[in-house]
Amino acid sequence: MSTAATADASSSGDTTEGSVRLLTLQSEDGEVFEVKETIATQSVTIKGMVDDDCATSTIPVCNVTGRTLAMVIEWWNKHEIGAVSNEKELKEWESQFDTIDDKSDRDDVYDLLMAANYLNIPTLLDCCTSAVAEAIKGKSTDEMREFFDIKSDFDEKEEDALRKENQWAFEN
Amino acid sequence: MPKLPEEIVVDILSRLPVKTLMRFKCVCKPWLSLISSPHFAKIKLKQARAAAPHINTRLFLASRPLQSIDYEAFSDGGGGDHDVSQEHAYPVTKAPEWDVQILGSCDGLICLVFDYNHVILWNPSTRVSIELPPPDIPDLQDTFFCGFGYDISIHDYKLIMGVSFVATEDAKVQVLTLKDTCWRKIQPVDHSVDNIYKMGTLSNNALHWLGSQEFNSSIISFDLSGERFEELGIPDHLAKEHCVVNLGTMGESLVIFCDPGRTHFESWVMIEYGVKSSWTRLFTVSGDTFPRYKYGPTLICFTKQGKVVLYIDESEWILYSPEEETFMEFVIKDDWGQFESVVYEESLVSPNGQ
Repeated sequence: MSTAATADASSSGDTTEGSVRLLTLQSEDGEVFEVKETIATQSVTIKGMVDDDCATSTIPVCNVTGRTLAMVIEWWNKHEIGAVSNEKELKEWESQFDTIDDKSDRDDVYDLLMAANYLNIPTLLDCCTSAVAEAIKGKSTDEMREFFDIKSDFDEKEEDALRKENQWAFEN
Repeated sequence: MPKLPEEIVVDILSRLPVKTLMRFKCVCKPWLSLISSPHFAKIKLKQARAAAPHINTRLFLASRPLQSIDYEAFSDGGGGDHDVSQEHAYPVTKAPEWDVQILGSCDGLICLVFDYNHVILWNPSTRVSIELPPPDIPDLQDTFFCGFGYDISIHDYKLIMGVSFVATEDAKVQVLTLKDTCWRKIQPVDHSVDNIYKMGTLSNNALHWLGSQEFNSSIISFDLSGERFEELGIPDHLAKEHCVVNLGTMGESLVIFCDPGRTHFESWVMIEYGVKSSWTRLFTVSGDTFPRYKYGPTLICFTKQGKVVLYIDESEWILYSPEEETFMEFVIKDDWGQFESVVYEESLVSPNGQ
């Protein structure tokens, strides 16, 4: 399948670097990135486009800003072989989000999560959800509401009863 | 953080420890219903098994008080500051007078008998328990065999109990399915269950007991869906002279622990389930390795690094490294002496069988 796509690419004016084909991605805010096909196909969505021969011209990546797309590409480069990240690598990646309480880091993770979801990048999604889980596991219910921007829909009585029922989970 | 799509929120929550999730039930109503749902319990179990099965397992001890050990943390050298053992409150109102018996463990649920008549199905991670009707077995103090597992064909848990002694012509076997909590009798086809005792080992959707015929060891399996007893072959030289000490599992695979010739211990794993020729030796340990102990060890479980938890002298728990041929002792608080144990996973699965 990929042979057909490569042959087709030369006729449609797509760039190639050696034998590796380059794909052109355009972010929501108009930034353009050239990425090796072998790397970009870590995205199931992009791989589908390549397989269906729909990746011959610029691929618009709606909903993802240039800043986030650059982070995604950095992730792709780190995982070029396409192998699932090992534990050490995961820890390294997670350490970026050690200060996830910081609003700008939180925004980064949010943007990455949304991009990983939109582009369907299982390894990145796995990594980001793990990082968020790690960051929130010790949090209180109030901190959780703040973190995920959730309004409690319990009335006071309901919440008290529920808390009583699971009192042990609130103790250290 | 702005609103995330629901599937991402579910993914994140499925990675959290059970205790955290019990707390997060109070965040909002949608989270309460998500975390309480059997569907989410399944997602969480699957996630835990795929991502880090070793983080999720503990060894439950029917000691006084009840407790569980994080044997993986102990194996990783977490014996210092980190509390590797945790006490559990009794899932019955009154502290039991007699030994607590373990009937089985599956998907984070443990089935116990208190004072020989209260059959309790309990999730130690969520602390939720229910009492089940006792089986129609004359006296639970007598020798019986038992087991607990999941029947994938009817999507329900099954508890099995039976009486086994050589003198009995028709061994009585009873099965309880969790959704209707009713016991019904089943008839084993031959005398295969005449000599099996205690808790069955769960592997490949079947329970397994160590059986014996004349002087030979055998494995009797009970297929949880088909409800049939069958014999599983073990290597001929290990079947002789009651050389199998006990059964265990490594991952999903069935393992036997033997003392051939009474000079050393060997552990064998059945690589391909049901295939006699696939039994492969895992490790050998000389009987002299544990000189301080009078009685030989039984196999309890394996850690992710291939170390082995052994129960020795009917009172001590040790972590043995076949690679380094060294062992460490667990320090376990107990007022009773002998007690049973079983490995369980931390899960949200409800004993209410919804």
